Amino acid sequence: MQAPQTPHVPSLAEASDAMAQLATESALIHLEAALAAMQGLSARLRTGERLQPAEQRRLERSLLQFRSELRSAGILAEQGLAHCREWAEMLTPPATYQPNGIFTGEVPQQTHVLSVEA
Amino acid sequence: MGSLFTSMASTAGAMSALQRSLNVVQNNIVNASTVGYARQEATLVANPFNPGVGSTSGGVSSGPLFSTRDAYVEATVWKTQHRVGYADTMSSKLTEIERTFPITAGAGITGEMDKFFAAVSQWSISPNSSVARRQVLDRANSLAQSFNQTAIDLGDAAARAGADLNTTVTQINRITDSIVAINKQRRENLASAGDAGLDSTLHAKLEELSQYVNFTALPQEDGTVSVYIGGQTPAVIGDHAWPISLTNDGTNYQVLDSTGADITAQVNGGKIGALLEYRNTLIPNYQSRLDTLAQGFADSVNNVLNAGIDQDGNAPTKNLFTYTLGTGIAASLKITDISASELAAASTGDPGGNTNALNLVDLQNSGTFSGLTASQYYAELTANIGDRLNAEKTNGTLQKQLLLQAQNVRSELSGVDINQEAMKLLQLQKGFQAAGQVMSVLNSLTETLINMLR
Repeated sequence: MQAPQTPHVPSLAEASDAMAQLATESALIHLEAALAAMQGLSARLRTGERLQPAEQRRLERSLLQFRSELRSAGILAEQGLAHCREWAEMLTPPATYQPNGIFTGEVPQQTHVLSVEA
Repeated sequence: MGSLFTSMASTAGAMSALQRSLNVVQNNIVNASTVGYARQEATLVANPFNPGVGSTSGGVSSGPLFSTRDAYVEATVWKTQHRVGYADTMSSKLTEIERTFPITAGAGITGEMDKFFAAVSQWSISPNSSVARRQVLDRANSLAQSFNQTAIDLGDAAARAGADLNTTVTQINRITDSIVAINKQRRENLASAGDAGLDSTLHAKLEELSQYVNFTALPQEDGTVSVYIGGQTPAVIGDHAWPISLTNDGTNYQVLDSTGADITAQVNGGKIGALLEYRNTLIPNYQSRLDTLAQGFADSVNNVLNAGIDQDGNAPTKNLFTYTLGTGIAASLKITDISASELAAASTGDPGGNTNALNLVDLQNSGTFSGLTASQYYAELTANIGDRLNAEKTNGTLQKQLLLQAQNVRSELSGVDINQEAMKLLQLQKGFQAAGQVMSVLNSLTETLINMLR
């Protein structure tokens, strides 16, 4: 009889990196892959598959690590959404808009609200 | 991502990079309409990931920020801007002057000349009519006053140009002071050399300056910008301004540098270039031609009258017109206290005749001014003003089109396309929301799995 394979817990590192690079589509692909892998793992455990105690502890550690990565990735997503909200509020510039950048000499009162270097 | 610690460190670094990237885009949007702003682009750099040599953090971090500003395009905008400033100022000033030299029938100096010769013509028909003689004196007086008024208007225009020059010099010095203040910030904090806000303020100031004067701006290694008026005279070097000043030698205005050296010849662009040419060259030229007309007209009328005899048969002892040399002939032109009966209508040997009055009528068609009649000379002067005005208006239109083109090129290179930024925002927002939903499912699943193992 063939020994059961050690269940694999995926990493969210690639999804986090993708989100950090504003590549949310790529992040979603990794997250969905992780979801599929975790659903597979869930199905195996629900079928009553028995694990050796050592394997079980290893799997538990991996799951805890995964949860930690998930929280970090969650923070990234929340940060991204918070920035998007602020960003959307600022879509209407606080200044008189000059089409084609024509210089009129009227310097807006509220220029440079955020410093890039801040 | 070997351990929880390195994973967290990587995530924290990535978050910082993400935040910075978002700040850059956000900053671009906020400053989309800020004068002088150039779009910035953030870069992300992959961290080394090589477990073999102990480098296991991986992830990404922020790279350098790039400004999309193009120095050549900026210089083109400034160059065109000072040409527009020159043409607009010159057009505006010449429009004032054009009103001083009306060409409509019956108006201004030519109108008064026509009325004078009409009165002389009437007098030649009735040479001994006291009414006709009185009419000639009245018309001569009105003509002299018309010359006076035109000269006064030209003097007022010169005075206004002088005041405008003073204001312009003050504006230039105010702007260079602002640039010095920005230079100080950039020099004191080298990191701020990449500050998009400070950079946009600096370039807005430089563009404002380009309306007033021609200059060259040279970026320095310490983050400051040096400004040379006319490409030669330092106006800003580092954190020090070298203000220019204005002086009047009694005839012309001169622009002086901070050491008192005359730099007028270098200042030939922008508003100040136009004002200097208008005040120092054009107005004196028009005044001189007006004086030539007044003097030539008065002398020729006086000469004709002095060649005849008055109503009593005597040679005239008084001129009809008088003026003062040196203080402005047109401004000082007036009639003397000559009486109506002293006007010489007759020629010697023909007392009571009208020969001399007819000679005066003929003066209207006499080429006194290098082959031109007085009316033609005046018309040439007004045509000259009109031609120059039209040329400046055409030049202004052309330069504005060139400026628009240069600004469009700059917008394409450095401007912020707010629609593009909004599109990026929507895509990101949807992506983050979807990621959040997937993570919510994952979280619940992970908790279930952990509980199943315990």
